[in-house]
Amino acid sequence: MRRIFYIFLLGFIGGAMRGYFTALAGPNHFAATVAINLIGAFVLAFITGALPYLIELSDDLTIGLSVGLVGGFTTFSTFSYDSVNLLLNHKIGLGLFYILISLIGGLLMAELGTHLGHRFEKGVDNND
Amino acid sequence: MIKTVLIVGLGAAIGSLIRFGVTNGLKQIFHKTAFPAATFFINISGSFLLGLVNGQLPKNAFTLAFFVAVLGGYTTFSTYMNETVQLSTQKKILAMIYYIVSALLGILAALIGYVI
Repeated sequence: MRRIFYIFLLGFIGGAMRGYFTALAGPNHFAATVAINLIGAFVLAFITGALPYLIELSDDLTIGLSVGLVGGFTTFSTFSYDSVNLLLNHKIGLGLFYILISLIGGLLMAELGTHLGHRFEKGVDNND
Repeated sequence: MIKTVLIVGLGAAIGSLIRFGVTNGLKQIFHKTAFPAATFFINISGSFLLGLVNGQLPKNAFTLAFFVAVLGGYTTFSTYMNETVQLSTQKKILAMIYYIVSALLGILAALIGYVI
């Protein structure tokens, strides 16, 4: 039950943040979605990899943070639909750029976050 | 602005819970495979549904804004990327397939949803 509550509450916060940044960007909402997805890809790796070594977290809260906060913040459906929207409106160059920067940038950010997590893991081991 | 933020927040909260339920359900079925079938299903189905609601519902409708918010929270880009990284440490080819096929099918699903 606590897990459900955390996912709902943190999902609300993650979604509200995405809504805020997207609304703030106005016509540049494509750029906002790219930024949100790249930041989220890094933060998720950090939460699952590094955060447990920094502070003590219950499983419920970890799931709330990853599924709710970061899951609600990032979005795959908007990525897909934005791509279709750009390509159908003959903005082929921008559409392809949007797809490539999302995919390549997202993977690099997830890699970066994962490596950072491994460093924390090793750091803790060395101090033992 | 405040209204948008609240709608997206509420939709994402509901969408995140649906994803949690669907992930748990699908993981029990696909527990033997290394392929991230749950996220794959969620992202492709969410893309299809987002295309569908955008094609069917009038622009500026409250129901459209709400469905967009729920589907935004239901689907996930961050887990998709992190699962690709995790999978690539063990199964490089499978990770590559997951990475590319998710994107291609997601975009195709949104297109099909939009035009039908």
